[in-house]
Amino acid sequence: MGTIAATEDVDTTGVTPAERPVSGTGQHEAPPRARGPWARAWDRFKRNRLALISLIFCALLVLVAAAAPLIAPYHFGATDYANQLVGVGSEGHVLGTDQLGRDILSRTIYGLRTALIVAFGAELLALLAALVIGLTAGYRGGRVEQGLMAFTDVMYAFPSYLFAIVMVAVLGRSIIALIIAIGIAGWVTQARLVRAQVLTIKQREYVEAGRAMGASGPTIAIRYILPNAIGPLLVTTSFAIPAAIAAEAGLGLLGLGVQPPTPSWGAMISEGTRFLLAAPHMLLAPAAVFALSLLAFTWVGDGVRDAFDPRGEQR
Amino acid sequence: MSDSSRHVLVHADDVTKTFSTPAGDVQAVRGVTLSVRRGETVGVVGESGSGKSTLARLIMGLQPCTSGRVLFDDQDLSTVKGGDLRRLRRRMQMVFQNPFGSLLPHYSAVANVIEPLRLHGIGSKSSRRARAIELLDTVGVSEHFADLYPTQFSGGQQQRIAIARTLALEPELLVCDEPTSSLDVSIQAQILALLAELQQRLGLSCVFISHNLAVVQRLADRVAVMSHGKVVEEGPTAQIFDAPQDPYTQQLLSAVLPVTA
Repeated sequence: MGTIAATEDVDTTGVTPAERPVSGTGQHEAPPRARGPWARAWDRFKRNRLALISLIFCALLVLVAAAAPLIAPYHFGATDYANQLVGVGSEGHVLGTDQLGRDILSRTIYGLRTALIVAFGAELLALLAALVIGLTAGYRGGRVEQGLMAFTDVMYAFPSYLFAIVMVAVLGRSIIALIIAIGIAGWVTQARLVRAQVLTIKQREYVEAGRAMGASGPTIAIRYILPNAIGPLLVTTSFAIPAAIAAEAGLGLLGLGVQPPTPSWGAMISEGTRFLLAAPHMLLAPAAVFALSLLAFTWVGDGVRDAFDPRGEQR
Repeated sequence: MSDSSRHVLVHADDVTKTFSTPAGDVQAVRGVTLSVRRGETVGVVGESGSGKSTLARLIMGLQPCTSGRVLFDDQDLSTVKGGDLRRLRRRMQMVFQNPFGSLLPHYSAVANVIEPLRLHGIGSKSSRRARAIELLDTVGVSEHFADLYPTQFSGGQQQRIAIARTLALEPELLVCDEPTSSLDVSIQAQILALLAELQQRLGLSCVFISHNLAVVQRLADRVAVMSHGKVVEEGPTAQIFDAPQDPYTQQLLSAVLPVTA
């Protein structure tokens, strides 16, 4: 606690968080604001300026990616043979063009779209798989747990890039293949984390109290354990998103990304190296946006980590 | 069936609980027989590790007995499963040692009290809330604070909320597992007074577990003294405190007497 400062609409009339409702007889005219675990996590997140600014930046990136067809001046595949390899600030091409006369700004924006769809898709997939498997294993225990965890360990032992290459070979160079390849590489550690969380929370008295009240197994697992296990999971997920963006670019760099001409930052950077001296903007533009997005998402992750850090509860 | 046993609500019949640990088997409860009649408060005292809490969990059916059986209203708890067991749980509730640990941290105070009503499908959404507010008022938590979360309350307030939650289902049996041991001394008195009042007003049958003899003396009609998983002595409260027979009970009482002023 400690941040129930008068920040918003509710008039707290100077009631400080220290004034807990000790007597409970209603002497305080205005009770302190209700702050649940989520609200308190948000309070702590907001205190980290860098994380807050990064979050706004990331939200902006998501908006740009979603509205790519409206924002990008050209279609990503549109060629302008009269203006090949023109530099930054050229007429009609703010960030110049590549060797086929395609607009770098448009391709960078569409590349952002690819990166975010793959990263969010993959992490959503990883999160869902991890929740189902980790929660089942942790809550059920016994043979179910042994079986699921043995499966998880086998997956863990598999080199993730090799797996990605196999996925792309089998499913072709599509966004779906990338989502599955990166998602499957990510769910294993997440599932282990969920299981560990569930095992810890299962020991808490409120779980036993829930049983004593007459709650069923699924109710306890989903309504009581899951919400309290999700904080650390959000932390790893928020760090996994920039990692997935990097993985998508990495696969693109290796020629395993989405099918051209759909732009991927990795492929753009790879092409840019071939024209590094003649047209450095081909590499620099996507690389700069790539680096900025990675930083922003990582800083958001930092904020999320601080927000859910159990030590943050004290102050 | 004898006359007195007709009123027995819960009966632990020669129950044993053995935990398998890496260091070997630990016998937490060894052949305990204990009955609670309707409207009666039975105190269970003993030092830490004497098996009191395990006995409470066996009586609540939260853990299976290794041997022996627990009869609640003549039903063997080990034979009741799934939905039937959950319905049976409406009739017995438990107050835990650590109120903050036993309240759902992501539920507000009122939501915590509503939860058992919701689980058993009692009332409508609005009537449940009204009832929960009423219960919070009964235990002395103002409606103003009903929507705050457990961490925003003091320990004593949290225990009041936990007690309100156990009362929501109007249980016949209330098992209190050291309900005041994690609280300040001044708050302890308030919570005990509240429990004593509720017990009388609602005619609850109660199992009251404590290592604090003064507390048990005040609340219990009968007392069972536990040591190393066994009940070494059992009888009416006055008898146990005035004329203890077992050497362990004598030792326990003499160790505490100077403090109970």
